Amino acid sequence: MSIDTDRTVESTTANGSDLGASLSVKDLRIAYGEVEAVKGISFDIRPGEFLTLLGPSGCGKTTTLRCIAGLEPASGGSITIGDTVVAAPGKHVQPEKRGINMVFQSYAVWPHMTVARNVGYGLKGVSKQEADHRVEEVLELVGLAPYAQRYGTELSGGQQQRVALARAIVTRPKLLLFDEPLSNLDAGLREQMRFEILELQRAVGITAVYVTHDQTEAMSMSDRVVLLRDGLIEQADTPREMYRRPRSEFAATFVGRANALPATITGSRDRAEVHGIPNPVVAAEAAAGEGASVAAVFRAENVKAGAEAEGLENAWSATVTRFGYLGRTLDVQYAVGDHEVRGELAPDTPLTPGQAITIGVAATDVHFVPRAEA
Amino acid sequence: MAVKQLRTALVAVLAAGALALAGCSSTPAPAPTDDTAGGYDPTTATSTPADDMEALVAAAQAEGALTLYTDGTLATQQAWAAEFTAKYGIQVSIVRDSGGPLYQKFAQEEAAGQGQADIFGNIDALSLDDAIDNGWLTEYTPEGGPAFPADRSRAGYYYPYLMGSSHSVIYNTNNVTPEELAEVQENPLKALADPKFKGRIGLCPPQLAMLAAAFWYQYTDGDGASDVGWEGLADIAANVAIITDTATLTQNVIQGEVDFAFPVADSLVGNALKADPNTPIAFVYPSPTVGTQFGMGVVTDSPHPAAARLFAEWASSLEGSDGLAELSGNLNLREGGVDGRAYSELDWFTPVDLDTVVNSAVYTQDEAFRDAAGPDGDFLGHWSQVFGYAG
Amino acid sequence: MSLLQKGSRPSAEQRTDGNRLEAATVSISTKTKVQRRRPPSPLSVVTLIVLLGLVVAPLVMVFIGAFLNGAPGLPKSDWSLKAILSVYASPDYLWPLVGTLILAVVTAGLSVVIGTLFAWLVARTNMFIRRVLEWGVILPLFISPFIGAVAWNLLGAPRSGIINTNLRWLLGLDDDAVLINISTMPGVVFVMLLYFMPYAYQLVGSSLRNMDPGLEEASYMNGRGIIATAFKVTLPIVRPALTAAFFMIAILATGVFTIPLALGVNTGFAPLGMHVYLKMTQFPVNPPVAAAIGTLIFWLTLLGIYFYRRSIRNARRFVTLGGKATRRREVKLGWMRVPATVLVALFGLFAAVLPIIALLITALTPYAMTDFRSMQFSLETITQVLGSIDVWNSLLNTVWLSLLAPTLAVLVAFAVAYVVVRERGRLGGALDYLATFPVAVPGIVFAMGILWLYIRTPIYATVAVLTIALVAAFLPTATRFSTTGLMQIDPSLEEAARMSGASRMRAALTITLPLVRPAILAAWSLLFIFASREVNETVLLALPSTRPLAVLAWDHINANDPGAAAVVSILLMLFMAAGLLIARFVFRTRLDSSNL
Ligand SMILES: Nc1ncnc2c1ncn2[C@@H]1O[C@H](COP(=O)(O)OP(=O)(O)O)[C@@H](O)[C@H]1O
Ligand SMILES: [Mg+2]
Repeated sequence: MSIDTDRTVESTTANGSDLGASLSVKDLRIAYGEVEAVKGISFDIRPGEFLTLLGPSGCGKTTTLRCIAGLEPASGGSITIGDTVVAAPGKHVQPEKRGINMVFQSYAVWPHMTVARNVGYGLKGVSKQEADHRVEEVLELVGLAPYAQRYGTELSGGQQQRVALARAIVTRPKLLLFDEPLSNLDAGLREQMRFEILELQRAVGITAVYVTHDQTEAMSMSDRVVLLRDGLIEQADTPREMYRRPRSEFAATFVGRANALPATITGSRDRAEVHGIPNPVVAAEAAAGEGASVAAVFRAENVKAGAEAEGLENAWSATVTRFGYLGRTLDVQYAVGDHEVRGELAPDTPLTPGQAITIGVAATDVHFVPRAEA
Repeated sequence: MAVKQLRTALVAVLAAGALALAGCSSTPAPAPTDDTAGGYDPTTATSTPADDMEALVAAAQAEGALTLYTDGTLATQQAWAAEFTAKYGIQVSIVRDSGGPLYQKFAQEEAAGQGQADIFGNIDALSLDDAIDNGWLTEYTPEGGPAFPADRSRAGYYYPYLMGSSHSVIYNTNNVTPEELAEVQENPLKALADPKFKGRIGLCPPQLAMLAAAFWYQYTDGDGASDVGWEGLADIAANVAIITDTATLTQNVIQGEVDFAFPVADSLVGNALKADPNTPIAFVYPSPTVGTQFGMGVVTDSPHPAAARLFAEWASSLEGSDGLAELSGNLNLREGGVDGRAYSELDWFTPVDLDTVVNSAVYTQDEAFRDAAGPDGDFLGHWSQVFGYAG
Repeated sequence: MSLLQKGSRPSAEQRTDGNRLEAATVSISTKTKVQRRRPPSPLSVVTLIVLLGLVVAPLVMVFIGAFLNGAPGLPKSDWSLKAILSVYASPDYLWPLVGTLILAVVTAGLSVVIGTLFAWLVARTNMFIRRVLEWGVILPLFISPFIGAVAWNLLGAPRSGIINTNLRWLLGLDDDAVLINISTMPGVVFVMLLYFMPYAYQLVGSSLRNMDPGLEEASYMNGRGIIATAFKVTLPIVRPALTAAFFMIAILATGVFTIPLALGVNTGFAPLGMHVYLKMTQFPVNPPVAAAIGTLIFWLTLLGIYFYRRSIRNARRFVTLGGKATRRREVKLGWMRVPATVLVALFGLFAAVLPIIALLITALTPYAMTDFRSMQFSLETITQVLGSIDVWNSLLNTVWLSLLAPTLAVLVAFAVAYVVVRERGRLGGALDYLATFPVAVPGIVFAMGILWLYIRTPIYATVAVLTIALVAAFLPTATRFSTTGLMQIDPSLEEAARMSGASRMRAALTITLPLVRPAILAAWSLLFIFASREVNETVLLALPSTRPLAVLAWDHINANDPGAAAVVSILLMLFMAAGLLIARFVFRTRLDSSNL
C-alpha cells in the first residue's frame, strides 16, 4: 500500500463515529518514584480519530498509553474519556471500568485458552449465544475463523497479533489503544497489518491511540502525530505538516531523512551563516531574530546535484564521500566544508567516491528551526 | 476422557476414605451425666466409697476417653492402658515425653487453661510437688492408695502406680568377659576407671534428669565421694565413648556399641527383657545409688474427671498394679502385689540393698543438692568440664 | 487548530519559558505526588495481617520469652534479663557460635560443590543411566533428615555399626578395627551433606536446564573446550542459583540439632541449634535461655537471609527461558564416564539405599542386631506397630497436615508474590522480607513461639496449630517458587484481561493463577514432602490426638523403640510416594527433579 499522507482530519470527521469517544489529556505527569517519565503533556483526540504517539525508545510513549489505560497511576494532570474524567488528582478509575481496550506489544495472547476463549474473555453480561455470535463475527473480520479452537501458543506471530486485535475490538470499546503492535512482526507482515488495522479502525469507527517508534508507521496510519521526547511533546501535527514544517531539529531529523546544518541568522532574517561554508544559507521564510542559533533543515530528497543544482538559491561545491544503492534511489553522502550532507539521486546517476560535484537546495525547501541543545 | 473420569473417581474415593478414617478415629461426644445421687459427684469427689463405684464407672464411661501424661516407657504404658480400655471401654491417649519437658508442657497448658491431661505422672517428685502447689493436681485418694509405701507417695495426691526403679550400671552380656564382670560387680564405678574399658562406656549426664544429677552427686559430694570423687570421675571420663540419654544408652548397649552404661534405671532393662528375653543385657547396682518411682495423680482441670478418678481406682487396685508389673517387668511397690520383674529369676540378678538407695523423696528436699544442681550452681558445669560434655 | 498546549515545545523561546516554569513548579508537583501515593491495596493489607499473625507474632513471643525467667504464662514467670545476659554477655556461647558458623559454611560449601557437579553431570554429560541415578539424588528428600541420621547411626557406629561389624568378618579384620565412625563432627557433616545436598542439586539443576543452550554453543564456537566452557560460561550463569543454594543450606545447617543428636556426637562442641534443644529438654529445663539462643541464631541467619535475598534477586535477572527445542550438545566424558557414574551412584547408595536397608533390618529384628551372621528376623514389630490405633490416627493427621499445610502455604505465598511482583506497592518489600523470616529461627524455636502464642486459644490441641506452624515454616520456600513463577509471566497477559473488562480479582483467578500453576504445583509437591516428614516444628506442638507419623517416629526413638520408629518411617515413606503418585495423576503433572 502507498503512504497516504494527504488524508486529512476533515475526511475522518466526515466518516463520523457513533462508537468512538473523545479523549482529552491535560498536563499529564507520571512519576516512577523520584524519576518523572512523563513531565506534563496535553493533547485532545476527537471521536473516531487515529492519533499516534511517536518518539524514540524511552521517551514515555508506553507510559502515557498505560496511564490512559489506567494501568499506571498519574502523578499529576487529568485524563477525560468522552464526558468522564477517568484520572485526576484523587481520582483513578480502574482500567476495566474505562470502557476501552488495548493491543499489547507482546500480543498477550493467553496461552492456556483457545483463540475463541481468548476473544470471548471480555464478553461479560452477554448471553452465551450473543457472545458466541460476536466472537465468530470478530474472528471472521480478522480472518481467524478456522483457528477458533487452537491454543494461543499454536499460532504464528501474525495470527497472535490478529487474536489480540479481535480480543480488543470484540468488547466494542470507545477507545482503542495500541502499544507498538507491529514491532515484533517481519517487514512484509508489518505492512499488511498496518493496512488491516487501519481498515478495521475505520470500519468500526473507534477512536485510536497508537504508539510507535517507527516514523513510517506513524506517518502512514495517523490522522495526527504527537511527537514525544524525554517525556515532553516536541510537536503535534498532521503527518503532512510534521513532515513539511518540522518545528525543531529533533522533529526534522526524527521524521524522514533530513539534514540539519548549525547556523546563525544574519541581518536579513531569511539568511543564516553556516560555519565553513562561504555563502549564507537562504530560506523562503524569515526566521527568529538576528544572531539566533538555528539549524538549517532540508530533506535529503530535495538535495539536487550537478546540472540540476545550478541556479538554486543554495549551491555548494561538495565531494561525494559515500553512496549506496537503494533500488528506487541512490543514497548519497556529500562533504561540504566540514559538514556532512545527505542527498538522494536517481539510481542510474554515475558517481565515484571522492568525485567533486555541485549540490544545491531550493530556498523553499529550507527551514530554520531552533537548534537542539547539546 | 477415560483418564479424566478415572481421576475424578480417584479423588472421590480418596475423599471418602479420608472422611471414613476421620469418622473411625473421632471419639463420641461425652454425654452429660445426671447420675449424682446421694451427694456423690464423680467429677469432683476426693474419694469413691464402694457404694458409689457404679456411679463412677457410669460417669467415666459417659466421658468415654482419658489422656495420660507420663514419662514411663511408651510401649508398656500403652499395653497397660489397653487393659483399662478392655475392661471399661474407655479410650486412653498417652502423651509420653521425658520428665522435664513433659512437666513444662503440662504446666504451660494448665496455666493457660488449656488442660489436656486427666492423669499426670512424672518421675520427678519435685515437679509433682510443684504441680500440687500450683493447684494443678487435685486431691483424690483411691481405695488402693494406702497400699503403696507412704514415703514414696504424697497421700491424697499422687501414688507410685508406676514401678519403683533404681539406677544401675547396665552391660552387654555378650561382650563382657566373666573376669571383667566380677571386677565390675565388686565395685562398679571404681572398676570402670580402669583403662582397659577405654571406649566401652556410655554415660547419662546429670543434665538429662534430676535423678541422674542426684546419682552423680552421690559420687562427688555424697556417700560415694570418698571412693570416687571428681578425680575418680576424671579417670572414668578417659574411657567414655558416648554421653546421651538412658533410652539411647540402653539401645547402644544392646547393639554392642558400648559394653557398659550408667546411670540407667533397672526398669529399662526390665522393659527390654520383657520385649525379648534373649536381649543381651543385664545390670549391677552400684553403691550408693538413687531410686525413684513414677508418681501419678488426678489433674484438677481434667477434661474427663470421672474417667481420671476411675483410672486412679483401677491403677491402685491389685489388678491394675499387677498388670503393670507384669507388663513392664519391674518391681511392684504395692502391698501384696506380684513381683513382675523379668530378671528376678535370672542368675546374674542381685537385689538392690535398699539402704544404699537414696530416694527421690529425700534428695529433692536436700537444699545443698538443689543449690549445686540448680541454675546458679556449678555442679552441672563442673561435670561437663570433666567429661568434655557440650550440653 | 491549536493542538499544542502548555508543556509541549512549539519553539525555542517557549521552551525555555516552559523550562523555567517547570523549575518553579517542581516543588509543588513533588508535594502533590507524595500526597497522592497509591494507598496499599486491600490484598497487600490482608496479606500483611496474615503474615503478622503467622510470622511476626510467634517471633515476638520468642523475643518476649527470652526476657522472662520461665515459660510465658507460668505463675512464677517474671521479667528478667538473666537468660539474655547468660547468652549475649558470657563467653559460653561464643565458641558454639563460631563453630556453628564454620559447620554451616562447610556443609553449605560442600553441598553446593557436589550438588553443582552432580547437576552438571546429569544435565549435560553422557554419564551412564542418568535418569536412574537422578532418583538417587531425589530419593533422600523422602527421608526425614533425623531418620536418616538414626539409620546412619545404625550403619556407621564405630563398634557395632552394620558396616563395621560385617566388614570386619568379611574382610577378616581385627575385632576392634574401625572402618567408619559416624559419631564425629565429619560424620555430622557427611549426614547433613546427604540430606541437604539435594536442595543444591535441585536449584542448580533447574537453572542449568533453563539455560539457553546457545550460550554454551557460542563458547564452543569460540574455540573453548568443555572445561573452559563449564567454568567460564556455565558456572557464572548459574552462579545466582549457587549462591541461593549456599545460603539456603547454610541457614538450614545453622538450626540443625536432630542430626548431631541422633549420631550421638560427643566432642565437647555442640552447634547452637542443639543447645536450644538441650535447654528445652534437659534438666533443668530452661525455655528463656532456649529463646535467648534462638534470638542469637535469628541475628545470625538474618545476615544469611540478606545475602540469600540478594542472590535470589540476581537470579531473577538471569532467568533465561526458551531454547528448549534445540537439542543440547552432550558432553562426552571419555574415561571419566565410569568414575562419574560410580560417584553419583555412591551418593544414592549412601543417602537412600543403605539407610532404607538399615531401617528395614531394624524393623524386622526383635532388638537392635547388626551382625548379619547372627541376625534373626520376625514380623512382630511390624504387626505390633500396625496393629495399634496410634499409627492410623497419626496417618490421618499426616494426611490432613500434608494436604492443608502446603495448600495454605502456597496460597499465602501466591498472595505475597502477587503483591511483591505485580503491585510493587509500598508494602511489597516488607511482605517479601517477612515471608523469609521463618527460616531465620530453628524450627523448634519458632514452634516455641507458636506454642506460647496459641496455647490460650481454642485451636491449641488441634491439627490447626500444627498447620499454622508448618504454613509459616514453609512460607519462604513457597514464596520463592511463586515469585519466580510469577516473574516469568508477562504482566501484559494480566493487563490484557483488565483491558477486556476484568476486575483485578478476575484477572488474577482466570489468567495469573492458571499460568503459574506449574510453579505452584512444584512448590506444592515439595512442601507435601516437607509437611509429611517435618519434625522440628511439630514435635513441641503435637498431642497424641494431633500427632503426625513423623512425630510418632520421633516419639518411638525417644522411647527407646527404634524398631517401631523404623516401621513408622517406612510407612511414612510409602505414604509420601503414594501421595506424589496420586498428585501426579490428579494434577496431570510430570514428576521430575524440577518440580520435586
Ligand atoms: N516500571 C518502571 N520503573 C521505573 N522507570 C520506568 C518504568 N517503566 C518505564 N520507566 C522509565 O520511563 C521512561 C519511559 O518509558 P516508556 O514509556 O516505556 O518508554 P517508551 O517510549 O519506549 O515506551 C523510560 O526512561 C523508562 O526507563
Ligand atoms: Mg514502549
